[in-house]
Amino acid sequence: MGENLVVKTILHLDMDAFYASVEQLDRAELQGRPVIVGGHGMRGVVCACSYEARTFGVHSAMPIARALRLCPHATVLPVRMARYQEISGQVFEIFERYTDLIEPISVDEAFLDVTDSKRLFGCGWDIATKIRRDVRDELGLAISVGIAPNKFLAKLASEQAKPDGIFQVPEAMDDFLLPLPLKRLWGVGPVMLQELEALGLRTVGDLRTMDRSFLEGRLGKAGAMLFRLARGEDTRQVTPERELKSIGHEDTFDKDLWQSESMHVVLLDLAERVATRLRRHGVMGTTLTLKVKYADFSSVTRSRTVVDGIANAGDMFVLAKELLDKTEAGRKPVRLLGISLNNLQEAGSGQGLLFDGQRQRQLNDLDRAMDRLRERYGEKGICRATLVGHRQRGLSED
Amino acid sequence: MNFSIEKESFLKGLARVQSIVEKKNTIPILANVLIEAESDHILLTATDLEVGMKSAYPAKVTTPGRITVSAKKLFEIIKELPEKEISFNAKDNCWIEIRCGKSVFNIVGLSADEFPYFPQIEKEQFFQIQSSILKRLIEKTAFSMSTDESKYNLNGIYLRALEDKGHQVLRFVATDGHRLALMQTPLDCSHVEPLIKGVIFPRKGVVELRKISDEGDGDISLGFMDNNAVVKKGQTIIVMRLVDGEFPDYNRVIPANNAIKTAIPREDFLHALRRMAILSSEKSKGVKIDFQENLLTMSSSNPEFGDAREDFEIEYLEDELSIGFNARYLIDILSTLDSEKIDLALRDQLSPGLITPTGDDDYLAVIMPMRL
Repeated sequence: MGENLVVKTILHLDMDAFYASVEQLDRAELQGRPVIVGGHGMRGVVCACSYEARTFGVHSAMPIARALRLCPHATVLPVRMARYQEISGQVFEIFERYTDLIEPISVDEAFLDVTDSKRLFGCGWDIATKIRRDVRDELGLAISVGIAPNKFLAKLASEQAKPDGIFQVPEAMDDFLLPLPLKRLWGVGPVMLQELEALGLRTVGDLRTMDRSFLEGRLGKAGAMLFRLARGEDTRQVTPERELKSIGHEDTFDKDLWQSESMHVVLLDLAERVATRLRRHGVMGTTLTLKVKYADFSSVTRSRTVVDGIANAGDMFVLAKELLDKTEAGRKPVRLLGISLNNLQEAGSGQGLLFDGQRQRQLNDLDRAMDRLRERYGEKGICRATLVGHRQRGLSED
Repeated sequence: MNFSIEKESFLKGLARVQSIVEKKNTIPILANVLIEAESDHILLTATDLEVGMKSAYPAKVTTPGRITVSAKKLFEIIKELPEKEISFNAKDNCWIEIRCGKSVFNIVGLSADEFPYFPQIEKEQFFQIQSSILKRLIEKTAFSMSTDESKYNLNGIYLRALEDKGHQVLRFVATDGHRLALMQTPLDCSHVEPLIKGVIFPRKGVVELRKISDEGDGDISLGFMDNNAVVKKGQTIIVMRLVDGEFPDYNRVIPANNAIKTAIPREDFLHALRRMAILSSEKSKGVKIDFQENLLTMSSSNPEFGDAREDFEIEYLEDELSIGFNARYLIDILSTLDSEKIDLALRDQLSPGLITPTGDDDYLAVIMPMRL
């Protein structure tokens, strides 16, 4: 219990317009210009947009068609998750210099508990400043930091800090917390917001006036949580790296796919991407799952388990093709395909193979060589001939 | 169709086909047993299109005929009937009336015309093998078959007739890619065409073969037609579709020049492995084995429980070596052997090890180490 009495210093770090910033970083000509990152032409939605695009009212999750009406001169780019993950890895390496209590939320967001790092690196503000400097100097990217005694407040603080700033929740927390609109609270989505507004509540300050029993009676467990949040209370710990459970990718297509050849190209691309991530995490999976969503939005999954583990893109591709044959893909138009690997375990450890040892080693060497080429020359450094131009074609078939 | 039969005999026949009938329920008739009554017996037939079995049982046939009915339901019914004569009567529209003592069952079947064709096998070329020898061949290799469906060519036992050291032998080989077991017996099958090239018996067929080899003494006849193996023993015929795939070149992975040799008392080794395996990791079952001069030390550890260690004397005069194995694989091999000692030949901690029972040239097992 004694531990809980120590006031913690929690940082919430959030990269500013991360995907779009990476694109602007990789293409100098886009700097200072509106950039939208999102999926697959007119059918997709905005995954991220640069601050230049935001001034036109563009925001994430907006259909791209609408975003382009608001901001017609924006450059729309496809999501290059592999590249973002690569940069993300470098950002997290910077975090690791200051603490090992890092809880990743996504590629561009994390909580850090720096309570015990203060003796080494100075106060929370100093650490935040150092991290921001390292990220800017080494990667050329902006990151905003919120500082607070718990995760809930730190997350609110980082939103306050954006863009490209630091915000520390003041000692007199209420000055910061009470005026905040309710939608900023953790767990308050559109439905909950409606319910709270129906009660005449607008701000955290309004919420603070409500009894615990009233909120619980009205909203159940969520009510109890809101009662605590309205007082800035949050006892959740920063829990380092959750165990990776599965790795997968999926693609939605501009136009529905009918031909198995086109689907096979997609599967190969997905397999390559999953395999690359497996290698980055040094793991392999034993169960491969294929997801097929038909044009009518119904979807099916098919799985296969390989006891010796699956790590190689070619093996994954062969399995995925077999599983595709077990679906109605082709007889029904296909809107989305996805591949994921589950039951992850450390690669390269454990049981040796009698027959495929040599082949496995050769494939591993080949994969490593290809990874190095991509590291050096980017995604286009090397790819399978089948996939040349695949992503540019926007995954459509004519 | 009308016949009466002793419960014991009927039950035995129905029990025998339970493992054959299709359980996935994709084609309903494959869950049924075909019952054919003729002269002084009934024939029970079941198949899942991969493995089929037909067996004759004595019965008093009043009216010959054929019908099919759920193998599982019929078995459940017959099992619970009193130990008396059972009367079985097929009526119109595939309804079946079963009477025994004061019980009457009316169950619905399916027409026998729907039942898959079971090959006629009168004219085939057969060779004979003793039940006890076949049983040994299967027991000492079957545990190495793969259960990974994606490796369909390893989902069975490879049979081949060949000449080894001047003798004609019949050889059984099974492997799952981690370990391999090979056993052969002096038997001249050089006239059986498919065996010269080699065939793969499917796993499910191997299980049935093992059962039939265990049912009393006597010879078993083995033969081939089309892509099937045919097995006959007494009143029972098993037909199984051979695995359509290439068995890997297993000779390539049998180490010929493993220089590090040791002789280990089999029982000591087996019991130590069983003990150490308890604390090995649930998934990999890895145990570490250290070889020092005339001493084997085995250890295992599990982060959740703790660790264990044990040593015993062996014959070993080479440099010290430390190697990891899946305990399960070693236990499988050692528990089917009966020699007092086994010879283990190693090369290094990453290359396959060779196990042979001391003084027995007809058996070998290969096992791939694990990195611990």
